[in-house]
Amino acid sequence: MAVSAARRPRSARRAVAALGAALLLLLIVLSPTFGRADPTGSYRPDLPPDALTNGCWPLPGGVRLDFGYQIRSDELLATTTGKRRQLVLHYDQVSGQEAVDSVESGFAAAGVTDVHVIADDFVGTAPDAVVRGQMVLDLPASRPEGRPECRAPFSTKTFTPEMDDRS
Amino acid sequence: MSGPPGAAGLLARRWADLERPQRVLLGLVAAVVLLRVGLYPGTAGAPVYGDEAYYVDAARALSNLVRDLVSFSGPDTAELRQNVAGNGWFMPGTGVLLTPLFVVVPQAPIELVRAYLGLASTALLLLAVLGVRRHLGRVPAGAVLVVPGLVPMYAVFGFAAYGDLIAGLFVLMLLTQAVALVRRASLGAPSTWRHGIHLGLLAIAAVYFRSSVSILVVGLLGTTLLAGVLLARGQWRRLVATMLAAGATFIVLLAPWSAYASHELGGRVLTTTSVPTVLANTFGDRDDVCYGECDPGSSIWFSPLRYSREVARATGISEMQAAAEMSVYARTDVTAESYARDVLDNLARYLRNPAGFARIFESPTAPYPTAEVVGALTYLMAFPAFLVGLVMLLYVDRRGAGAQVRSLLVKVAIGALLVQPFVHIAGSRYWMTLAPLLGLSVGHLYGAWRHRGRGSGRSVAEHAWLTRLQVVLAVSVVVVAVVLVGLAV
Repeated sequence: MAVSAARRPRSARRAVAALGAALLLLLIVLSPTFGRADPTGSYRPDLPPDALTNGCWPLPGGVRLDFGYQIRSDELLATTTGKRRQLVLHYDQVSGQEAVDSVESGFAAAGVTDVHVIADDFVGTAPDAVVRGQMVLDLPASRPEGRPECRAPFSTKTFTPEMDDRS
Repeated sequence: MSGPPGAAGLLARRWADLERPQRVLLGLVAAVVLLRVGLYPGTAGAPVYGDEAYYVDAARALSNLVRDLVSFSGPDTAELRQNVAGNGWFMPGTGVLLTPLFVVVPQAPIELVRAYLGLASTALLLLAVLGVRRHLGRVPAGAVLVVPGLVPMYAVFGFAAYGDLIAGLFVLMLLTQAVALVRRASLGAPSTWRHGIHLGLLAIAAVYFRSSVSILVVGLLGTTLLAGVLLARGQWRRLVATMLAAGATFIVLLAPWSAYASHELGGRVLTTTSVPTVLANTFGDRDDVCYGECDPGSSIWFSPLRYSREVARATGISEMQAAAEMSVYARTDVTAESYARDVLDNLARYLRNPAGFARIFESPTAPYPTAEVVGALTYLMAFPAFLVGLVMLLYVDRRGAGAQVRSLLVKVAIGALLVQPFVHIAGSRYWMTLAPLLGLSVGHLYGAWRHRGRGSGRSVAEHAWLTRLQVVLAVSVVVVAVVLVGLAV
């Protein structure tokens, strides 16, 4: 009695384990026939394109910047002399002076004259830091294109006041 | 005997054979299960919240990987990159746990996801309690069944697709096995590489569910090695070999993730990538994280991430390096005083609202309201438990070597988890990892209280260093607290 009571659970346990493993294997082998899962990808959204390169609101004269940059804001502002486009960006791996020289020579070559460029290097960053400073481009007013992809704020960096502050 | 007894008769007879402590434990297990059955309808339909989105997506993508592998087609590497490697913010433990569900039910509704997680977390809790009963005794096992087992918020969180709670259960199992290993060493019983692999598996499992327990794992394994070697009777070489096996298991199982995440994110990733942005948001100036304010319209996590990805795209450096430089810039003005204030603030966030997720995980279609009851009962149980944890940190056990080793390991574990507020914005879910250690502390202190007044015996004099180590830890806690408060005010 005692022996069989001790043995029975053991062999029963083995049988259950074998059955479980077989069932599991069957489910795995059959899994492609159940369909596919649809991950949302919401935690790693695609990085929207850089606004200056997607044709939505190019720089006057089609000028391209020849250094790394991040657009921070791009908007039409009302000034005392009329509307102006103000583009703010951070420049990478160049000094402010180099960045200004590069931008100004680009506009001069394209024949655009009504442009003012100011750059301020960040204070306290390491000498080999990647992001070096902030540039403000004061540009003649123009209109961005109205295509739907040109209204994506994380690409155009044209933000509206009702968007929550990120902090 | 007159014929085979019915199932009820068999159960009644087995119940009658049990001793009273066993009946109490079984009663507690039943209460733990019933509590979860009662809370499930109130939680089942709660939509995916916050980081749960990543963990569930990771499981979906991993289940598609399984499908692709068994049908001999190439894996969808882009889908895996986006949903498993993701931003490198989290390790995929919870995703791996959920994968079998999505293998069988690819479109699993949230109710099923929560039921599956509830079953898994309950099974793991009971498994951990079995280990505690075997290696630490019935009283600590019963204590863990009560705290956290019967804390309603903890039960509700068992239905959540976060890694904090399950990491805490693996920590409990790791600690239990560490105690068992030191005991073997002190009894002169040789430990084997199997023990080491077991220890290593538990350690890496905990880290896969919540990478912030890495500090705890290092602390706990280090203390185990130290205590084991010093207590071992001529078996210290075997113990060192066992611990090497544990370390090797840990590294071998961490490596695939590190290599994969590093490959997909284009830079070195050991566990996760979030530390620089975490430090910037916690201690730095949030208005400087993107060298000025980050984009409006998304969170303090996603806006800096987008900026660092833009830098990576523009310059070819990795987004992690960009984030590291952003973090340095944002923390330029951090002083010892501002840091101390932020740490105290984090500690308060860690402890002040243990039921903070009660409303979040209350289903909009709950047949009966749960959040208020969960909140009230959780406060009643959690705050005394926090107090017990504090006493445990400060209490110096002077019983035999075994009790002192347990005291030491629990202190190291709690202390290591409390490093979190020193490096990270804290919130209402971090104590889920700590909770099983609080139950263990209750059991330990109860044992010490029952033992009061009895002589501590010769073994204690032999192992005075164990007492000294406890004193050092307790004094360190006091010193850190005094320095923090002194700097902050």
